[in-house]
Amino acid sequence: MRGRILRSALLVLTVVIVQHSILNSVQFFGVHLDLPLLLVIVAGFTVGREAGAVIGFVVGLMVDSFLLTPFGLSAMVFSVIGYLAGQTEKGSIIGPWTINAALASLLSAAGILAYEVASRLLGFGQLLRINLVKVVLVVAVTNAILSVVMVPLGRWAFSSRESNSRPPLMRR
Amino acid sequence: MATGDYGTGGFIARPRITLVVLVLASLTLVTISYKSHGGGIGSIFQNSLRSITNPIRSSADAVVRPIDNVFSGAFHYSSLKQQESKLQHQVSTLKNQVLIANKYQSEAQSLSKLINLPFAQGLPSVAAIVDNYSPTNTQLSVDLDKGSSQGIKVGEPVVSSLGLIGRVVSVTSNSSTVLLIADPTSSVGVEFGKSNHIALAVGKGSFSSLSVALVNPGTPIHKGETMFTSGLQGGIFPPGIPVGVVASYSYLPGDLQEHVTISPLANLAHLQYVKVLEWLPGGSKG
Repeated sequence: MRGRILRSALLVLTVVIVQHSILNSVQFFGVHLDLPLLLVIVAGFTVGREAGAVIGFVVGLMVDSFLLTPFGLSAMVFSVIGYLAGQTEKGSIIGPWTINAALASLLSAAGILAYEVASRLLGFGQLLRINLVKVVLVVAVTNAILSVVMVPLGRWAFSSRESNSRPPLMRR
Repeated sequence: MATGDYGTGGFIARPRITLVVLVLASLTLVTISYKSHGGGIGSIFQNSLRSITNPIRSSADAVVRPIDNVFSGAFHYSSLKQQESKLQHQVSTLKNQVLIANKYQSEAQSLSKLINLPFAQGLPSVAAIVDNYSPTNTQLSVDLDKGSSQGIKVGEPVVSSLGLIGRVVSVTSNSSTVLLIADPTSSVGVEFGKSNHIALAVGKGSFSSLSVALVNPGTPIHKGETMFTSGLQGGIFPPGIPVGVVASYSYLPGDLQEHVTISPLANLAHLQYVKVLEWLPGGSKG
C-alpha cells in the first residue's frame, strides 16, 4: 500500500514538473501538450472511477497551483474526467493499446471541452481558447499517442501488485 | 460491482458520492478563490507548492535542458531548415566573432535601455529575468526570477525597454508570475492622440495584437500612432507607459465604436530582461 502511494506520488510529481519544465517549450501548431490530463485518464483506467476521481482532484489542485485561473477549476474537471475514465472498467472492453489510445483521445477532448464549459458556466469566461477546436484536436491526438507510454507507467504506479499482472480495462 | 469501485482499497463504496463531494469541494475552492480575489486558501496552497517545486523544477531544468533542446529541434525542424539556409548565407559573409560580439552588444544595449527607461521615470523598480513562459493553453503569462524577497508585490506593473508587458499576479519569495497584456483576461486603460482620447486595450490571446475598445466613431486615429497607459484614478497602471502602436482601424456604418487593433511595442513572445515598477494599483508606490 505504502509502495503504491509512493509510486503514485512520484509519477504525479514527475508529470507536473515535466509539464512545467520541458513541455513549456514544446508545442504542436501552437498548442501545448497536456500530460496531467492524460495522467488522470490513465489513473481512471487503472484504478477505477472512485480512485480516478480522487487522483484527478489531487492532480487538478497541483495544476491549479501553477495557473492564474480560479483555484479548484482544474480539480473539478479532472475529478470528473478521472471518474469517467474509471467508468470504462465497468464494460467488457478488452484493452489493447489501440482502445486505450482511442479512449484517452476521447476523454482528453472531453476534458478540454469540460474545462471551457466549466469556466464559462462559473463566469470566468474568456480564457485562452481563441482556437478551441485546434486545442481539442491537438491534445486529443497527442494524448492518444502518449497513452502508449503512459498506460504502462500508470499501471506501475497506481495498481496494487496483484492487479499489476493484469492489463487495465480487463479487470471486472 | 466493478473492481474499480474499490480502487482505493474499498474505504468508500459509493463512487458517485465521492465524485459529488470532490466537485463540491472544487466549487468551494473556486468560490473562496473568487471571493478573496486570488488570495485565501488557494493562494496559500499555490505559494507553498511553488516554493517546494521551484527548486526541483530549476534542478530538473538543468538536467533536462539538453533533452529540451533535442525536442525543440525535432518539433521545429522545418523552421530550423529555413534558418539553416539563412545562416549559411550569413556565415559566408560574417565571422563567428563578429556575431558573438553583436549578440553581446545587443544585450548590452537592451540592458542599457532598461536602465534608462524613457518612461515611468522616478518610479523605483526591480530588474528581473524572464525564466519561464506559461506551459498551458489557458493563459499567457511569464515567470520572473525575482519575488517578494526582492520587494515585488502583486499588482505591480512590468515593463520591458520598449513598453508595458503586463502586471504581477502572483508572488513567491523568489519568483513571480506576470500576466501579459496579450492574455484575454487582461485589459489596460490607454490614451492616444493630441486630445488624449481614452480607450481600453484588451488581450486577444495573441502575442502580436491587442484589440482596443471604447473608441467612438469619428475619433481621429492614425496608423502607427502610439497608445500609452492612461493611469486614470484607480487605474492599475501608472500613466505614460507605451503600450502599442495602432496596426489597423475600421468603422462600419451602424457600429457603436471603431474597430481598432494595436501591436504591442514590447516583443511579448521573446522577453528576456524586464523591470517591475514599484507602483501599486490606485497610484501608491509599492
